[in-house]
Parts: sequence; C-alpha cells; structure tokens
Amino acid sequence: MFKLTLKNLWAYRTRLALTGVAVVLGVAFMAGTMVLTDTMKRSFDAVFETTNAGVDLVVQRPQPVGANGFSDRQRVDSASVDEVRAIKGVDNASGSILGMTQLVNKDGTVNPPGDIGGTVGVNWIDDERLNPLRVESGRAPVADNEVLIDKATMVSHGYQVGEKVTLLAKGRPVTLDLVGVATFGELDGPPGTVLAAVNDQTAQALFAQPGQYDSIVVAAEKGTDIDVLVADVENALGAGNFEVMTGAQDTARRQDDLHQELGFFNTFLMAFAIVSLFVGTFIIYNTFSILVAQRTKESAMLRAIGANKRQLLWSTASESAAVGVVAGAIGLGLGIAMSFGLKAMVGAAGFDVPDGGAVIAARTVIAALSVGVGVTVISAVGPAMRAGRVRPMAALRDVAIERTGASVVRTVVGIVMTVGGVAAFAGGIIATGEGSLSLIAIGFLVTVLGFFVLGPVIARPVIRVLAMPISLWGGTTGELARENATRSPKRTAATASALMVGVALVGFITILAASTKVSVDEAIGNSMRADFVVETGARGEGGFSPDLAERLEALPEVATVSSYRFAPAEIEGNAALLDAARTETIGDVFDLNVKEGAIEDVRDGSIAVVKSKADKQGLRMGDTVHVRFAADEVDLKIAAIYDANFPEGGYLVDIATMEAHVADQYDSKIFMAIAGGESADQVRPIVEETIREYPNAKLADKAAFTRRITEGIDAILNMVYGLLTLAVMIALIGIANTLALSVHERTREIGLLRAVGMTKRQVRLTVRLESMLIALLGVALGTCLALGLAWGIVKALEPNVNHFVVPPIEMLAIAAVAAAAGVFAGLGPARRASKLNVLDAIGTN
Amino acid sequence: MTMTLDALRTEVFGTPARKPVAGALDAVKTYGRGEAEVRALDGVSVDFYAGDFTAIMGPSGSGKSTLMHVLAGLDDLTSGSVYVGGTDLSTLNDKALTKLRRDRIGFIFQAFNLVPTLNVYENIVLPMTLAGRKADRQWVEAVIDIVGLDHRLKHRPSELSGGQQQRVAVARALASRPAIVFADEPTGNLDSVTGAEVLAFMRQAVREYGQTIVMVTHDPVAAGYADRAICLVDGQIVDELHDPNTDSVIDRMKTLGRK
Repeated sequence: MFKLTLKNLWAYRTRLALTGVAVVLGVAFMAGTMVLTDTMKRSFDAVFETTNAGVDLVVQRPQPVGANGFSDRQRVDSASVDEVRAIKGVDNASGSILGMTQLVNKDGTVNPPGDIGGTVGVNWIDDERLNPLRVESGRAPVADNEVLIDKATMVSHGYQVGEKVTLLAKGRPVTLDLVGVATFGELDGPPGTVLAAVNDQTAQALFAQPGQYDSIVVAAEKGTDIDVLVADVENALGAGNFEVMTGAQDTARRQDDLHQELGFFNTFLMAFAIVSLFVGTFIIYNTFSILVAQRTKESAMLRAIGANKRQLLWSTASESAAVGVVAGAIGLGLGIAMSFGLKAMVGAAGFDVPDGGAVIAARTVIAALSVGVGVTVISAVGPAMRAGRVRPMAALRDVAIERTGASVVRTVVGIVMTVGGVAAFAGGIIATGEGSLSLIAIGFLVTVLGFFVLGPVIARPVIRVLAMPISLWGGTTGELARENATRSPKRTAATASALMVGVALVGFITILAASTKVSVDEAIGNSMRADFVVETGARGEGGFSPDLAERLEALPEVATVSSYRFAPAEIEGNAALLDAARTETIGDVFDLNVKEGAIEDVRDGSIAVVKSKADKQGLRMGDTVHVRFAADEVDLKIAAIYDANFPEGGYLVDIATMEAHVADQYDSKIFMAIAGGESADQVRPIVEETIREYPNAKLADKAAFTRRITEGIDAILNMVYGLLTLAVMIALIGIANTLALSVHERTREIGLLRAVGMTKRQVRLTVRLESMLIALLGVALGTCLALGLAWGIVKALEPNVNHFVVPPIEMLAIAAVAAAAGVFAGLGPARRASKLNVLDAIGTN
Repeated sequence: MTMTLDALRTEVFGTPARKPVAGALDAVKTYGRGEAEVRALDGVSVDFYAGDFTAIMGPSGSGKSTLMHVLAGLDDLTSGSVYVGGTDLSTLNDKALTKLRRDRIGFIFQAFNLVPTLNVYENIVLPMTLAGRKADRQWVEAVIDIVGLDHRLKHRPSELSGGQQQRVAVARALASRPAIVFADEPTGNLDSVTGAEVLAFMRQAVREYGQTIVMVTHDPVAAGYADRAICLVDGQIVDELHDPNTDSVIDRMKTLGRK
C-alpha cells in the first residue's frame, strides 16, 4: 500500500506540487515572520544587555504611565544620586538621562521619527561600567556646547568630528560642536537608533529638567551582595518612593517591553500567514477530492482484490502528509530567505537590524513543519475518508460525473451557519467591551464557512446568471464553459471559495478605507476653522517645543493660535493618551461639536469627554474623572461633552492642566487662524519663515491637512493589498489546479469535440471561459461578504465613521482583476486541453 | 413534411452519380522503426463512392481502424495520399483538418459519442454550432424523426440507454449533411437487437438520402447491411465483396483465416 502511495505521489506530482505551493507560501510567511521577530528580539536583547553590562543597580521612580508606545515616569533629583552614592557597598552612582530628541540632517531636514529606536539623547557618563559607549575618535563631551554621536549615525548622516550638529528637543533648536564618535558595545551604534550624548547640564536642559535625571545607575563595590544592596538602597531612599532593580532585572523588563511591542508587528504579519493557510485549505481539500474521485475505479479495484477501507484511507492520508512535509520544509526554507527580504524592507524604512545572521529557533522549524503537515492532512481528511468508502462494485461501473450539490442537509446547515455567523457578527458589533471583537471575528469566520457550505447549492444558479453575457456572445463554447462550470457544483464552489476569501478581504478593506476617508474628510471639513496647521509630519512622536506656538502667536498676521499635545496617563484606571489643547482658543480654530457645557470652561481642574465615551461609561456633566500622571494624580470635573473624532484620545484637558502635571511638553499640532484683513497667500510665507528654524514642523492648509490623514489610510491600504495579493495568488493556483484536473478528467470528451470539429482555439476558449466563470463566482460571493462585513464594521465604528461608501471604480477594478486573473489561471489548462492528441483522447488507438 | 424524400435527396446531393467522395492512394502508415516497425497500412488504394455504404472488415490489427483514421483526418500517413471531396488531406494543417471534419465528415464511434453536458438536441447540432452556423431545421427534424428521438431532445446522454445514445450519434453524423460518415464499430457496445436498429438507420440514410457511409467493423452481421465489404489483412486489401450478406461474409472470413 505504501508503494502505491509513492506511485500516486509521482503520478500526480504536478498537481500535488501546485497544491503544495499554497502551503509553501503560507508556511513561508509564518516562518519568515518568526525568524524576523526572533532576529529582532535577539538584536534588541543584546542592546539592553550591552547597556546594562556593567550596571549592578537601576534606581528610578515607581509606577510609570504609558500607552500606545508612549510612557512617562517621574524623574529623580540629583540629591538622590548623591544619597545613593554614599550608601555602603556602592562604588559609583550616576544620574542617567535618556530623552527624546531629533538630529537634523546635513541638508536641514529631519528623518520622520517612525523607527522603533527613534533618536535618543543621553548624558555622558564617565564611568565605563555605567556607560555602554566607547569613544572611538575625538573625545567625550565636556562643555555645555559639545556633543558626541554614535559611529553608525556619523556614517549614515555623513557628519565629521569638528562639524556643527543641530538637535531638536525642548526649547529652541540648539547647535552643538561634534567632539567625538563612539561605538556601542561591539556595535557601531544601537540598531535603528540615532544616539546623541551631551554633558549632564545640557542633557537636563534639552531632554529632561534642570537638576533631574531619569534614573540612577549604580556600580557596586567588588564582592558586594547585590540583593542586600537592593534592600539597603530601598531603605536609604525611603520605601515606596523608589523602585530599585538589579541591572539584570532592568534588562529583562526592558526586553519584555520590547517583545510586547514586537508582538504587534508579529501578529500583523502572522494574520497574513493565517489568511494564506486558510485559503490554502480550500485548495488542498479540492485537489484531494478530485484526485480521489478520479481514482474511484482504481480504489474499487483495490477493494475488490482485498484492500480494506483503512488501507485506502491511510494511503490518501499519507499522500497528503508527504505533501505537507515537503511543502512545510520548502516553506521553512523560503521563509528564512524571506526574512532577509523583510529585514531589508524594514531596513529601508530606517530600522536596521544588525547583521549576525537570522535566528532560526527550533520552535520555528517545528511550527513550520507541523503547520505544513497539519493543514494539509486536516484538509485532506474528508477526501481520504471518501476514498475509504468506495465500494468494490464501483470498479465495474462507469464513473458517473458527480452532479450532486444541493442536498437538503447541506442547504439547511449552510443557512444555519450563515445566519448564525451573521448573528454573531452583528452581536459583536452591538455588544461593547472585551469579547466583542472576538465575537466579530468568529462571526466572520462562521459566515465564510457558511458560504463555503452553501457554495455548491448556489453555484449553479449564480453561474447561470454570470454566464448570461457569455452565452449570448460565446455560442457553443460559452455554453459548454457554463455547463462545465456547473457540472460539479461542489468542485466549482470549493475552487471559487479560495478566491471568495481573498476578494472578501480586499473588498472589505477597500470599502472600510473609502468609508473612513469620506467620514474623515467630512469631519475635518465641518470642524476645521483654522487657516493653517503646523504638524510634525509624522506620528505624534517627535513633536516640537512649545516655543514655536509662542513665536507664531507673536506674529501680527496671526489672530489665534491653539496648540494640541498629548501625554500618556492613566484615566479611570485605564492606560490612555490624554489630549490637551488651549481650550480658550481651540473653539476658534477647530469645532469640537460641543454638546454640553462649553470648551472654554475646561480650565484647571476640569476635563472634556467625547460623547461616545461618556455614554458608554455613564459619565455626565459635573462628574469627576480620575487621572493619574507619572508624578501625581488628580480628579477632574467634566465641564464639556463634545462629539468629534479628533482628537482621538477622547479626553481633553487644557494645556495648563497638562503643564502642571507632566514634565515634558511637546506640541504635536498647532492650529492657526489668520487675522482679519490678511490673505492666506500673504501670511503663508511669513509663517513658513518662522517655522523654518524647526525642520520637523510642516505647514499645511485645510486641504493638505485632510490629505495627510487620508494618505495615512492609503499607506496602510497599500501594505494590506500587497499582503493580500498572496491570498489571491494562492486562490488562482487553486483554480489552475482544479481546471487541470478537470481537463484530465474530460480527456475523452475533449477528444470527441475535436473529432467532430471543435478547433483548438475553441477548446482553449471553452476552458478559459470556464476559468473566468469560476473566478466570477468567487468574486460575486466575495463581494457579497465584503459588503456585508464592511457595512457591519462601519456601523460598529459609528460615529467615528458615519458614511458607508462603496467605491464603484475600485470594486469594479477588483472584480475585473479577479476575472482576468481567472482567465490567466486557465491559460495552462486551456493550452493542455487544446494540445490533446485526438486519437489518444478518444481512446481508440 | 412538405417535401418528398426524393426531392430532398435531389436538393441535397444533386443528381445521384457514381463518383468517389473519398479515397486513399498507396496509403502507407508505419509505427515504430527498424526491427520494431509495424506497417499498419501497407499500400492501400481504395475509393468510396457517393451514396455507398462500405464496410471495412478485418481481424484486429489488420489496419482497418488506421485506414478510417487517416481517411477522416484524425491521423496522418507515412506515405501515399488520402482525399476527401477532392482535397488532399496531407496539404491541410490542423485548423483546416478540423474544419474539414466539422463541415464535411460525420463520425459515429463505438462508445462515448456524446458530450455529457449537452442535451440530445445540442449534441445533434454540435458540429453546426461549433462552426457558428444555423442548423437546417427541416433536415435536422427529418433526421431526428428517422432515428425516433423527438421525445428525448431535452434529455442528457446519461439519461439514455446505450442504443438511444448511438441513435443520437447517428443523428449527429447525419445532421450536418456531411460528404461522408465514418463509423467505427458503431454497434460494438450494443446487444444484437438495438445494434440491428442502429444499422437499419444507417442503411436508411444511404438508401433514402444517398448518404455515403464507411463503417469499420469485425461483425459479419453488421457488414451484411453494407453495399460493399472490403477486407483488410496486415495492412493490405485482400478482398472485396459486393452486396454482401452475413453468410457470404462469414464464408469469406473463413477462407481468409485459412490463408
């Protein structure tokens, strides 16, 4: 029996290879993602280990606040550093500053602060145990106007020791003398990070506050028991006020934090691997179903001469396992190769992962192989069981074409699943809170599977409708294509299902993006009253000094300025980003659509809440909202309820409130209204002149501001499209595979057609049209799913997204591309069909 | 029917005359090379006349099927020539051969004659629709009438018996009014009663409409329906019988077997 399995594998190698491609791509994506994240983890783990290599203790203030990758922690006084240094067992203690900055390029621009590492400013610490930097050329910064950068940055930015370097941080931009270049441990610099070191005073002025440090790093005396020292330091500084950790603990904590950040990245890429594999299962199922059907006679003959059910089942199952093993292994190899590509891609985005080879964990190998085998075998179980059920008598009969599709059970089960899925989906939308998103996901999955089950029932009528124009124009070839596409509804539906999933996802994303864009356009159009907005040109990080707003306000041509900023905080016990704007003037430049109270009344001690959040949490005017900052906590009274989808955070305070509780202030946007009698065209150059000193500030009018937001949506859309192309490609392989098997099955029929006068062209056309019809079925079903799902999500996102927009051109383009791709998938099988030798085909030789 | 059958025949074929519509001249077909060479046709020359029903007889391996395949443009010759309606088939490319089969030749195979996805009527008019031509309704109806399928036109082949399927095949072969019909063991898969029915239809087509039919068979009963029987042995024509009947064919086969 094993020999037979091998022979079957060989006989159907092309089909099985194509089937395997679906698994290979899915596994490759998964393995590539795992290798890349492992590689990134290792590089960053090493960075933190290097940083803390000689550090025995890290002392900082407890309970930081943080959300969405931003965090804030109270600072320590320099007096505490002296206190720690005096403790017995401490050999040296030093204040350490690690703050946000931006390095200006030689051409006067700044890089968008989108990298994981970003640009960090640190203070130079002279003790080599407490400082991972080693001066390579020049010297350490000593004077207030001196700076040192890492060697990697010097190379990439083209700076030389002795030149001037400009840093953007707190206050106005500062220009410093570059006095030295350093390496970071064994690396030229911390990966993906621009590093600038200055002396303590300058670091405090630029990145922290005078007389304060972010943390205290401690080198213990030789032979000191570190655990005892931790307790000693805690006691000396006063319990609860400080958090004392060993260097190793601090390293582990930072590594954990980063792993969590990478986790998102991982999940994002993994989602596409899962989509690929999901689509792949349809193809594997289909291929094995057809193979088993084609081998019915052979199986029956084997049964007749004494093979038992189990042997037949195992033969097919082990065939699929073999495909899975090979595909998993190839996928693993491809994934490793792909991780280099992904690495180059993130490298191009400014995020360098240091060389030193990809990290291929045993876990990756095991996961790739087991997913490869698992997915293939599970998909083939149904067909394998069917192979086992073949009766010996079937050997004597002609194999009838399987025409069944619309059984009552199938119809009922399909409808129940679809309705149930839609219900769960709708339930998830209506429900709020934790489980709702997973309910939506489960609803989506069940709906797709419901469509899959219903597919054979609806395939025939749907294809009849789709084929109408083809029948009108295509004559016999069109009719034959239609009949061929409907002769086995199960097969056609399963083939189309793979494309259905791809089209559903692409269509869903397209509709969602279009709806969001229109909603954003409208919201901004309705709310924006500013003539100009100064932005950072990137996501919130790397904002500019409040200086800029003051200087703009001083311009006589500008009537009103309201800056907007945000900071991490814990609001009502949840990690969040708290928004702040100048409430006195925000109403003049941006309409927050205030429903209750007045935005001008939001002053010290009060807060404004977005209506949707207030409704959800039962908050009313006059209620208090508890906010914990890094340094202290406060109860704020609700003085306004607004209904706008900018700012995104949902809680808004006056800038004065934020300044009172948060140490570092950076503006992220500045809204401006020009004075009466001035024209925008005349004011623009004056504003541009003012912001020129701040290379990270970008000036935008209303249209440009809207465009920048929608451009962000487009960027995400393009990335998602790119990755979903993979799923569509796999679906096309499925169509090609099914058609090739169908052509094989219809050899005699094609021979007959050729004998009675069908030209090769007509044969090709018939197969291509069939291919297109299958693709169109997938498109039709996928579009239905996309419309339903997108509508549901848009409803769920109300009021942030309050328009349901189906972009007709994009949707038609998706359909056209999928149909064209369907024809493309049919090219190979069509050519093969037309090349059949007539005499061989009619089997009379 | 408004036209008499004779008038219809005259309209379709013009004045009946003894002229060849297809034939072979020194046809040689070999397979393999050197030691393993097989001469399936070893210099066959034969003509098939309009309105004749010819049976090609011979034991298996005699080359009778090969002769039919080369005459029908399904296979090519090693040397010599075959023609249909004055056209030398060796001058035609695949596309022209396909057209010739579609427009001038009718086929009846032993089995698997019909496209399973098309119904009876669609199968009958298939060659015409492939050509993008409208079928001659009157003629097609006449043919359907002859083979007695008027109540089955909407049925699929799988819903018909083997005999009915062969009748559809006969109807299809006749429907496009081909110059010549080739039948390859048309009754090979049928019992004697239904086989006789099918042969009677073919006979009728020759008698009443002057259809030219060439039938390959090894069944003396089938050959008995023909006007002429040609016997092939080892790729050569060894004998020819005019107006054969079952007994004369059997007798002749016996003598051939003794040679």
